[in-house]
Amino acid sequence: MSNQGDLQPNWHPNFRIESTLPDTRAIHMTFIIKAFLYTAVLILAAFVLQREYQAYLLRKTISDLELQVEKVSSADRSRLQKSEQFRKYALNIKELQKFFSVPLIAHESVVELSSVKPEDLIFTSIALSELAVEIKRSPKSRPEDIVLFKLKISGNVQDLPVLTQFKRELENSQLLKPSGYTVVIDENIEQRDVDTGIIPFTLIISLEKTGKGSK
Amino acid sequence: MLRSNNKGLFVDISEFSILAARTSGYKAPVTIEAVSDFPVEGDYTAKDMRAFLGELVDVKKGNYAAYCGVYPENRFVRYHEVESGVRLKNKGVLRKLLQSDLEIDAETNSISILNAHDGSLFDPTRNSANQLIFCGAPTAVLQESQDQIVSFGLLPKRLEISSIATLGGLCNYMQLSGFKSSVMYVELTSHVMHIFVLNKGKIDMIRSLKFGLDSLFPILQNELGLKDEASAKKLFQSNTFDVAEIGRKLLREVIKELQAVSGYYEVQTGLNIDQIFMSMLPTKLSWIPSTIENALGIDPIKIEFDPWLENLGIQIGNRVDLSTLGPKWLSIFSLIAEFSPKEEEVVYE
Repeated sequence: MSNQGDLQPNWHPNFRIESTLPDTRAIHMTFIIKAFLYTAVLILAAFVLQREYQAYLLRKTISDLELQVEKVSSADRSRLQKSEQFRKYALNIKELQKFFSVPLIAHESVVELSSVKPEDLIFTSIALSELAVEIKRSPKSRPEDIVLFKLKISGNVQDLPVLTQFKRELENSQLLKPSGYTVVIDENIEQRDVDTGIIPFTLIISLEKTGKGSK
Repeated sequence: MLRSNNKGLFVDISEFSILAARTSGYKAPVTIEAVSDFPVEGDYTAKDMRAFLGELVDVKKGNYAAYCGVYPENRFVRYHEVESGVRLKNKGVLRKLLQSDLEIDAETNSISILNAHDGSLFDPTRNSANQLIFCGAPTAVLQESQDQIVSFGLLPKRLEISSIATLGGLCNYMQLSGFKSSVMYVELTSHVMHIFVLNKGKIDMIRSLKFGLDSLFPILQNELGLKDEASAKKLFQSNTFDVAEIGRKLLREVIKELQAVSGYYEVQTGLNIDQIFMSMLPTKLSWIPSTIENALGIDPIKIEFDPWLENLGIQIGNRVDLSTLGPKWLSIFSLIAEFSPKEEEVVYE
């Protein structure tokens, strides 16, 4: 039966079938659902597009960079060769620097020794050597590699006081005061030669770089 | 979205014509601003209807709220007296009444029950009137009508069976005009004929016959020796058909039924039927009412719309000339009108 309202005017029964009429609400439920779905789809599409665009930009950047790499690879190879060359030269330079950074420079040492040498003392040999030795500072400590510079002076004196004077002069001279080095002087005095009356001696001056791990 | 339109639109859709009226609105006082008639000559499309209605209101966007009246096929209007209307509160009793006495299937039909004395909605919990009108139509047919209306760009605020509104209009007209005699109202369509007998603006009798204009075609075919009913129908519907000679023969059955109803009514009530009203029929079929009137020897009612509508509080716009409108317009004016019974006529028990 038709649903009739209490307010039905006389002679005007209404047979309208409400359920099949078009949806005329101010905002249709289907519209809301569709709007929600379309929005979700749009957001998803925008997200995917944005990611795709980013991927496209990255691919483009990669391809540009690859092109750039390809372009500069020959120049790069030449630079690498130069770099290798430079590295080799640098090693030599380091070696030279190392050489020039020794505490005793041969000709300067000879000049200095000559200036402090007493008249009654003669040198028979002067040797300057550089030694790499491994030392253990304590029984439990690990061995260290150190570089020792040794100045070995052999000579003859008539009298021991001359040698003593020479040693004192030597100790006061700038020669044995290189910065960053500890200086140890060992002396070895032999028996006076009966025939010539001279006393041969050997002074071994060791210079060790101060500070742990010094090489 | 339902468009909130200031202008009211009323549409009456029959198999003969589609009548439309634009009003100033839906709330009283209403002014009829324009009326329009679309004669149905053959098949028409929704586009044709949109163009027709578009002359009155803007239906391009669709869902234009309108009050619509239709004449669905297999519609029914039954007058029935029950011992006690209160008993119809019981759905079982009502169902039995519909099935057994009225032969109406409650499952497939949309049914409305009205109080016969004033056309108000019958409510068994509030009154116990026992003279009732059971009206309605198959729900499927109403659905078709509603779908058709929606296809015209309209959204029916009301979907009425125009037969009922027209019946109410005629009752009201008789009451307001002070009719003392009984009136026979005949609604003759293709498949069915409804006969209503009214007295002093109240319904005394209703008869429905499965006999309509379509039943005339075989008679016409035999009378003129036509090859088939289709040819008879074509000739019948043409404007050139001269029925002067055979009109009465064609309507013999119709007249017989009307005489039977008239005789029965007079025997039952002792009252004579002095006037007849036939609605809907187009001008080219005007020979039908005149033939019936002559055969029955009763006068037609000439509805005077002006005073009636004025009485109902409906004003007429300058563009509408009521003097040119025939009886078929009673249906759409009845759709527009709101019928309030006089206080003393309301029967509540």
